[in-house]
Amino acid sequence: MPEADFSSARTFSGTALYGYINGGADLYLEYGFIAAQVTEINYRGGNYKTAIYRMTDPEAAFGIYSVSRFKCAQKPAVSDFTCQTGYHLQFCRGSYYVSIINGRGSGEDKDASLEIAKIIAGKIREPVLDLTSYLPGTSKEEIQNNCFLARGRLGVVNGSPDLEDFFKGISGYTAVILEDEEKTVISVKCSTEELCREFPGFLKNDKEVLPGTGLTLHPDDLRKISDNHLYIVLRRKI
Amino acid sequence: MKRHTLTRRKFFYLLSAGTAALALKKIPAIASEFNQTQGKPATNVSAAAKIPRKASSMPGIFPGKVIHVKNMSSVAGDVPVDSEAFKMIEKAMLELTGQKNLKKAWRMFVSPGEKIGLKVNPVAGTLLTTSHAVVKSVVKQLTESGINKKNIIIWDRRDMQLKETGFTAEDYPGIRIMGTEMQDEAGGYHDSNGKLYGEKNIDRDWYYWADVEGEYDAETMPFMVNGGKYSYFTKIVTQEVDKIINIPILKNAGSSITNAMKNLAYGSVSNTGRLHASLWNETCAEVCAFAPLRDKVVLNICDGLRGCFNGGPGANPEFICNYNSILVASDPVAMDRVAYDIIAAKRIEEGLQKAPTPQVLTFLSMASELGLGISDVNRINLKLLDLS
Repeated sequence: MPEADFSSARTFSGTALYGYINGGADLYLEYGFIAAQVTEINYRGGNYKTAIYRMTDPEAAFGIYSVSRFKCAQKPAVSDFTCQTGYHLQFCRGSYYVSIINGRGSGEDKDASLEIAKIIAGKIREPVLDLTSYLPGTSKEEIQNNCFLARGRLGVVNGSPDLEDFFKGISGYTAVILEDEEKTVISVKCSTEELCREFPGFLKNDKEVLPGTGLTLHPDDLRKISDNHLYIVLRRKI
Repeated sequence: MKRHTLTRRKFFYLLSAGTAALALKKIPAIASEFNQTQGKPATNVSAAAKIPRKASSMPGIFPGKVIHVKNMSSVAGDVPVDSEAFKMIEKAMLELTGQKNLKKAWRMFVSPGEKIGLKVNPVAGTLLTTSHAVVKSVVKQLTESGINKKNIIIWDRRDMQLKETGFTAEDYPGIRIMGTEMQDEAGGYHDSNGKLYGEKNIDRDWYYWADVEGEYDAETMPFMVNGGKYSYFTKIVTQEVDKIINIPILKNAGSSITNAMKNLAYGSVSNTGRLHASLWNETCAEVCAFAPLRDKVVLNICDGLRGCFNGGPGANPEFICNYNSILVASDPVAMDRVAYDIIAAKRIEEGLQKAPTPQVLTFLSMASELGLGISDVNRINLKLLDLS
């Protein structure tokens, strides 16, 4: 980008992320965070705040992306997971989550953001994240657009606060969650078999699992895919 | 609050912590003053009550009273409008105090000669900082009420974030701008003796102790100032100011909120990284129970012109919205309870949650138990003024 002026480059590693976003850092640390580089780019009259977060693994990067995207106006071909709105373009690729915020929300800003995003994405040489093992039988498009991934309480409350009690007191898991009007699918991989045993405490036959949400669990809707992988469908009472 | 009986081992451990603390003159701490809520790390919150309250202590002179001013003209093109913000604060101050004269309304809280600290919130950067429309309106109304500019201090924990968001001497001539944590022009955090600049700005006589160790690497330490189990209050609140006007932003924190109490608590002490995971609610409530905040915070003005309904306390453009609102109260607990309803309504409208979940506001019930304000929504006297 020969016309671009780069300034205020700052790097934050590990818990130093508190120095950048204070309490907002907790969410990143919960998923697994290594470092972030934040740069202001002045380009063709626009200002772009570009933050590149290197997470511990691709699932962590997707997790942050999945709870940060909202009402994506466009999904340009930057990576399999890209969301663009007027002021914001964000994507994840490999272990990286990238956020590009522009100052005016104009068409020019959106085009420039896309240009910056493509350059950054082109430098990330990591394989595309595949979440189909979590949600077998679900289309790739559905997974790309509608599911979110959580690794702890903060991810859950940012992705779907109604599920907070479902995961209460449990840690050491990665959950991929897909919600629609009728049901919530929770595919959870636990770091140990013992941790997975903590979930059935909530799973009571034909009772409202989560008070106030109308979500219930039928025994047939709990499948054990492996010793440390549960596939749970909560159905909403109509 | 339910207390655990101390085990013998715990007692001697805490006793040793207390012995060290006895050397500190402002908060004498003995083992019995370190409390542990069930399943939670112990803290020294009971030491806060040893210092007698004042008439002006939280919740201030109007417990439970909250003024909510709405004005759809207060934001134009996503930029807060100075003149509208001024009007909104003016109306709120008159309504809160029952005065007809704005100067008299302000003088119920502040007096000439007092040093007034304005606690802003620039943490999320330029996208979602306490707006200059609100801060400049407060400054103008204070000076018109007889407060000399040289006695006004705009402050937060990080000097660099204040600068980044435009709280500079150039934009606020005659007013001091102060942060606890500091960075020099070369980007360094240490003075020529290798000491963090922030170290000279913390007051080791005043602290919030919690049985959670803050362990930070060299890169993180400049943002924490110190590690260990003590979070020291900034000298800005213990020494520099006589009164504090708290000016938070209307933001969510997960399904809870970060507004008046959080702005004060996490903005006033060092070593906060350790306090997020297991003591977030306790910190929001208990730090405010200590005299430097409890007795000095006289007024809370929530900048809800723009705010966020998800992704907070960070700033994600998707979740930033125009609430077109300002809340004013002497009672920060009641104000936070009202702020929660505004944010919850927006989250429901946006499909982020199905119904309000005020049960998540644990820090408000804790604060209420500590006598810092009213959290019971049925006891809050909310007055809505719509200037649209």
